[in-house]
Amino acid sequence: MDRRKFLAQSTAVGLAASGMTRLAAEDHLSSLPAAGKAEHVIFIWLGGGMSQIDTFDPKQRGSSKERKPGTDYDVIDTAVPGVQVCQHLSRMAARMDRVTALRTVHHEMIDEHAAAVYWVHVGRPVNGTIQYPAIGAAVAHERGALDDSAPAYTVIGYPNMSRSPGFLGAKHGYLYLTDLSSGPRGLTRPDYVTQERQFRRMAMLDSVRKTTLAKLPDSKLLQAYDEALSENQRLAGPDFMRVFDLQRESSALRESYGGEFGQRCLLARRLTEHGVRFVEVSHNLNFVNGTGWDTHQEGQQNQWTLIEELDQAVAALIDDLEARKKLDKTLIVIGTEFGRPPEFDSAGGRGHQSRTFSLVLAGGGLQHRGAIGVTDEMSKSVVERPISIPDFHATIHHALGIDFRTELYDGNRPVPITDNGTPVAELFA
Amino acid sequence: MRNSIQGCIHRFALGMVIFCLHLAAINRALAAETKMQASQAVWSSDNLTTEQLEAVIDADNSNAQPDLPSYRLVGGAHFAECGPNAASFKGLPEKNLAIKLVRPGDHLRIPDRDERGPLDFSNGDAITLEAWVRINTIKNGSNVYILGKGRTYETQRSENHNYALRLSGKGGQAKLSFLFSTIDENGKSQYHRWTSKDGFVADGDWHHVAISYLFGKPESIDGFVDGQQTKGSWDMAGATRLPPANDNDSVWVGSSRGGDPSNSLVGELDAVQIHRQKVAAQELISRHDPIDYSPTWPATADKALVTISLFESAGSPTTFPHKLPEEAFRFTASSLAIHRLPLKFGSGGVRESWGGPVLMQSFVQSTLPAGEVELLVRSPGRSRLWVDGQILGLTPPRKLFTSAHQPFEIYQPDMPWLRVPRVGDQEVRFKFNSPGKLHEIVLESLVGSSTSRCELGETLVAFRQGNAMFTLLTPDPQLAASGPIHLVDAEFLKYRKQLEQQLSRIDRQSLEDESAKEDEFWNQRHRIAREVLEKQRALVVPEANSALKEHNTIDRFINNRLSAATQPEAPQIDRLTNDLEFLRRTSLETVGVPPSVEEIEEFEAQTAGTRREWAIAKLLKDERWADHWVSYWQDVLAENPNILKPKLNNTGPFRWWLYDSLILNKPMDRFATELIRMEGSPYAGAPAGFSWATENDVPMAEKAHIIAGAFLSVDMKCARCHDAPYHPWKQKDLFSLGAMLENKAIKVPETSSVPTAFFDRKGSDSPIAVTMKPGDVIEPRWPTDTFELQEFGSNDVDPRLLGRPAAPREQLAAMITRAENRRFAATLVNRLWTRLMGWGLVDDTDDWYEAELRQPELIDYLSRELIGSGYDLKHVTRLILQSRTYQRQAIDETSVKRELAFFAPWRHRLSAEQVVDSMHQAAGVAMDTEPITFDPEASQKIENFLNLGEASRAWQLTSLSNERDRPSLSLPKAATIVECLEAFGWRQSRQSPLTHREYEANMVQPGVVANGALTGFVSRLTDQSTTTQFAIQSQSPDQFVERLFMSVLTRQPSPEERAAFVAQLSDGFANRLQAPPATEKLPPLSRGFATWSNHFAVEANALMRDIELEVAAGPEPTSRLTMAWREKAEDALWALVNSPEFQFVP
Repeated sequence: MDRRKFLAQSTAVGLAASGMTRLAAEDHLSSLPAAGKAEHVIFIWLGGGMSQIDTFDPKQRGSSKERKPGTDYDVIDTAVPGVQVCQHLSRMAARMDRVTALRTVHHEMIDEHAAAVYWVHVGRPVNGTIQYPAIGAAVAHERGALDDSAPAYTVIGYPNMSRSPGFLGAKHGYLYLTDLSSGPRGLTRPDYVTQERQFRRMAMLDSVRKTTLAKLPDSKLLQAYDEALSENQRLAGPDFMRVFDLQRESSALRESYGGEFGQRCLLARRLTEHGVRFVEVSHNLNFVNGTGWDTHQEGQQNQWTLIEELDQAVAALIDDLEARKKLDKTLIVIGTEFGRPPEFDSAGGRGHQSRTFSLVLAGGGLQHRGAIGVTDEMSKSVVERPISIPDFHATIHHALGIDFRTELYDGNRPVPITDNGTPVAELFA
Repeated sequence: MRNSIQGCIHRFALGMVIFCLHLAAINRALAAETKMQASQAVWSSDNLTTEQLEAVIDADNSNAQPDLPSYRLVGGAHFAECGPNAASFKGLPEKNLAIKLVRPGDHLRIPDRDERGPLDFSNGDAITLEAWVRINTIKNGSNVYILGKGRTYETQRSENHNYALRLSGKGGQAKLSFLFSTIDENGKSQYHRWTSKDGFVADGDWHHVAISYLFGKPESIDGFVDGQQTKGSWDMAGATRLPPANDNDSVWVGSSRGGDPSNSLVGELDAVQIHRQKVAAQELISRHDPIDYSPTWPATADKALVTISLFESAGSPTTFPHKLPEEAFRFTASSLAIHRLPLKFGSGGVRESWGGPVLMQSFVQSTLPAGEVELLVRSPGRSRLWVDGQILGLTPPRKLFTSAHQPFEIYQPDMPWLRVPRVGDQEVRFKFNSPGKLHEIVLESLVGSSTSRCELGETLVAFRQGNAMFTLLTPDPQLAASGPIHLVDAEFLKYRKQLEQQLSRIDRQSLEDESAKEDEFWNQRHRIAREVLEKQRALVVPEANSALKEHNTIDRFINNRLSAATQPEAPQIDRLTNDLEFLRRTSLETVGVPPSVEEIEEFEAQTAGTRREWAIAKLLKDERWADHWVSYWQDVLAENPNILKPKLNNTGPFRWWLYDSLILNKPMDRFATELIRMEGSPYAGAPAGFSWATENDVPMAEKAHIIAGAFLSVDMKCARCHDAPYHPWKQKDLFSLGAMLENKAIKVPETSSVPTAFFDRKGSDSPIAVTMKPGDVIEPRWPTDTFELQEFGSNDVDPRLLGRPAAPREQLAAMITRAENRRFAATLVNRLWTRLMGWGLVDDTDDWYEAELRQPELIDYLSRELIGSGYDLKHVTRLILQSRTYQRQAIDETSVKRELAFFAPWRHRLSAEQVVDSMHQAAGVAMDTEPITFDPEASQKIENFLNLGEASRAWQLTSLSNERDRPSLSLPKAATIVECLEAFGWRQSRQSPLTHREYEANMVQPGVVANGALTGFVSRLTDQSTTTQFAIQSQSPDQFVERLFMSVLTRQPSPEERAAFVAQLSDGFANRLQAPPATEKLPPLSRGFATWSNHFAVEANALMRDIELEVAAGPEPTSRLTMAWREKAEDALWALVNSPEFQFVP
């Protein structure tokens, strides 16, 4: 009897298969708590690779100046007993009971940012002929927008392949804006187009649309494009565009979020409120320390400014959502392509590390506990509770009530939505 | 020195030194007593033939004198008269024998008699190893032996390396590598290696190398390359004070490790010497005393022009060679300013990379004004300027930065209009006193290296006197013709554009010349193909259908497919397009853009009734045909370059080969064969780039899948990881084809299989099966037994079809493209038909398994036409364009009865590339992008950074790869185009092949056209735009509106449209013209460049953010129209480009 048949039969008669890892996993799945009820995801992306040892998985004190391995900052207690973070996360420390740092996430790509970014976004190592969808596209595909007047998936950052819908196709793509001042691409009129010019443009365009539709009354293809044009104009109209006007929030609230990145988070909250399912927010401002989160060499010296900026914005987002009773409905995710080692390079910066690093979840109705997973004394390797990237994806899907075992289709070819991932069960009641 | 010998034991006649081993100290005891004046044994030979020499060696062997090691030549090693000589180096003889190592493993063996002989070294012993060496190439990462004692594998121990001098391939150079092993107190063996910082380029010229060392004192190491001392560093187990391992293993010269090819030197060696002393540095330096060349005008060059000679693999990126290699290419320019090298083409006309460093010599004769003249030199690489045979000065060696942490620098021009140098260009100014006569001036520049791209920036020489503006150095006759070209943007760019046109002509000529070399082979193959056709059963063409009209044979097949019941309805849809619709459709389908107003006028000037034929002939000759078809093959063949570090399934930019092939209208059998051969330079855009699938575990399985779909309509995608569930073929079939492409067996990796866990979960429900195990070895084989491919011909290939040696890959190419394989031709005609008609003779273009062949007879007819014409796709295109079927009015797929639906073309959307190119064409503006690269200064490795240049058509774009989310890495102009392309279904990344893109309308598409910066760019009325010319020249708003409609939609406005547009444009029309401003505007401030090496700088980010805003604001409008009216005209153009009609082929 071959292994497959054996397994099929043994499950059929309910045999407890000891030593069979897959069956053990199946048991684990059957005991998995029910899916969550989150409605939205705000996915914060820290491009460059957040140093877990300087943030959510601090260890013994080191010093970049002396090239002494370890955490570059002081370590503080949090609202969760036994869970510590670095001193520059003081606001989040007070809110760690609503936050869980997954400290033992890992994959195998360290030398190339783009490949690691892709891996974390699509949830698997890429080795085949398929262009996989990003987590945002997969979620948007499964659950759609909450409101017809809003797109399902929005990115505040640069468009790139790792954020793309892959085989799901362009219609599951994202609306995006690269910065707050220029508004969403494709919806925001250039500054030089005044209202008067817009009326003039539409007057002429309408005459051509009418002529063509009259000439080809039966063409469904033409009508489809014409309708898409109308739909775009509707979305570009004041109702949806108002979402981007942060001046509509009180100045006290806006200030609580902090600078440009905080304002992006505030916009993300407004977008979810108006029906967007998944917002990816890029924290890309490499003005702050010169390198962003890719803190090689001198980039390490001002890393704390990035951490504080993140701390302020996420803490404000948690408070704001809580005040609106939306925290349980909104899963906040902090993603990054890999972490960094405890050692310092010759100029006091850090290299890349993917053997273990931290990704963070907050809100979303999960059973938070500050941290899950244990790394060694220098945060160099996993000691307890490894969490794979597919597990991380499955956790997000499960939190949103999406079946993490479901299959997407690349044409007629079934592709599991996660690469055999299992949700982190501890987060679900 | 060679004669100062004490205790000479054996000596041949003296004189010319051919090959010698200097063995200082006959034995250790003697050496210990007289360290610095050690006895030496010199072997030399004079006036001996190789045979005599070998005889002497043999004699020496038989004598078996105890202290004198004798030697023996092994393998193909032999002596030849090719050593370094007086022609190139001072102090060397006129003629010189050297040892020639022909094949890897050839070596010279010197046996060692004991462990304390003259060849044995230990702590306290000094050693100097030196040799002259000549090699043509060295692989990065390889270590080839000049000589080594031990590690020959002649004895049981391999970790017995007493010493070795090797050449180590690093960064395109041969560096010195000194190596020995030690054994520590625990008996653990370790290697100690010292590698020099400097090296030489393996350029087929003689180089001298030496190291000297005192064992036990790691800091005593000295290295010498070509008469220059070099630093270096210890690695592996690092520096050591332990004594070197030793036994009585032999000394091998030229190889090691039993003749391991990767450690074997292929080339020549001369004067290999082992000294038992540290030879003085000065002496080792003086060994290399080259006779330098000075540049001389090529004999046949026209002195009225600037003559530019190129030499490949010349010197190092920092040092000029002592001897000129053979001239590789020569061209001319009208001034001494060159912005790029001409393209290099190899066999059959595929692109090759220039072998860097390239030495570029630019010769100019021109008269300088009397008195002090300032000469300005710009070039990215090291340059030197010769005036009348003397070196006037050098520019500094090129700085190459691999990190991104360089400071952001801004060039501050010392005069307001001076053109700012390109990023990476170095500028040096030299003073020169001229008597005011004709000078012969030569600029020599070293361009690129074997690892960095050969790019010129803007290499130029200009001069001035006093505070005048710099003027490009130009030969007198050219200067008289063109007038001075000042180094200011406007004048320089005009010159550069003209030079670019000239370079394009040069490139085209090279392409045609190289391509023509294989024409005869293909003509022969086409004769064979026609013979095959003639042997086949004649095709039966249906009778004309009297009830239905026809233009040509195609229509007979189409007309006769209709059933008697449907036929009466056919005349209702048998309506021809009008002439203008036909012109727009055919123009879009052949050259990818609608006709210009001039083209329309020319078309309309033809006699009615002949216009269509005229347009077909003209359009098929139009070279924009290539632009239109490149994008199709990019999709089908998964062309997927990345400008930054290769990722999954990235290929080289073989788009350039696609373009070249289409420009020449290469026969399709040749096209497929060249692709499958994968020759040329992968970086330069040759089919070699197709061979890549980075990060893919079995690239050739991937390629087999692409080729099977593209040329055989066989879909093997599923077979990549398991047996195909809906097809009869197995994973093994795909891997067999992959192995043919690989030219050898391939092994199935773990990652190309479905994990067992999958089946555990699926149980018996699984639709797929895996019949290959990871680790299985699959042989190259045409999989005829289980495979549809058996219909496409047997395993035997007519040898006349092979244009290269009969490797499996070449055979595969012949099997696919031979005339017996009718599927190849059928696949191609179906691809063509589908693209032109919007529906396929077979629906699923890439997968004909169990597919309905809608018109098998028509497929057969068109296939025969393709084969008979010598696989000329344009011939078949012509037949289709001429057919009545094609010329009918388009229908919506769903608007008619199914049977009638295949009677006329289907209405279809423009492709993304057509949208973008048509927007530019309709507005009459040229595409404008940055050079598509993150490394405009060409400072990085070509493996990681490509430069795809400035795009002029949409197919030239690619993923902008800003996964790092850094503003400083944005390409704002290119991004406006990519944004538009992507909305319309173009893929940033083509990881897998695709024939049919998605064309479902979505709201992003009209959004991008309405508000995207690209529309802002094309609809702005600038001084360059054709629409501006219309606006200026039109006599009335009405005439302007008509031209605009013609230009954008190839039709007259309807009365309603005319009224609506004229109503907007009348007000202000009469007074729309204004005089251009009298004063010139101040030039823009110099503000630096963002490039990879400085992209972490705050200023680089800020600069790119500023540029993004400027791009969003649109280009500078013309000043010849009033703003109020110009904006109205722009709005009119905007409205037409935004119309749904614009999105469709009529």
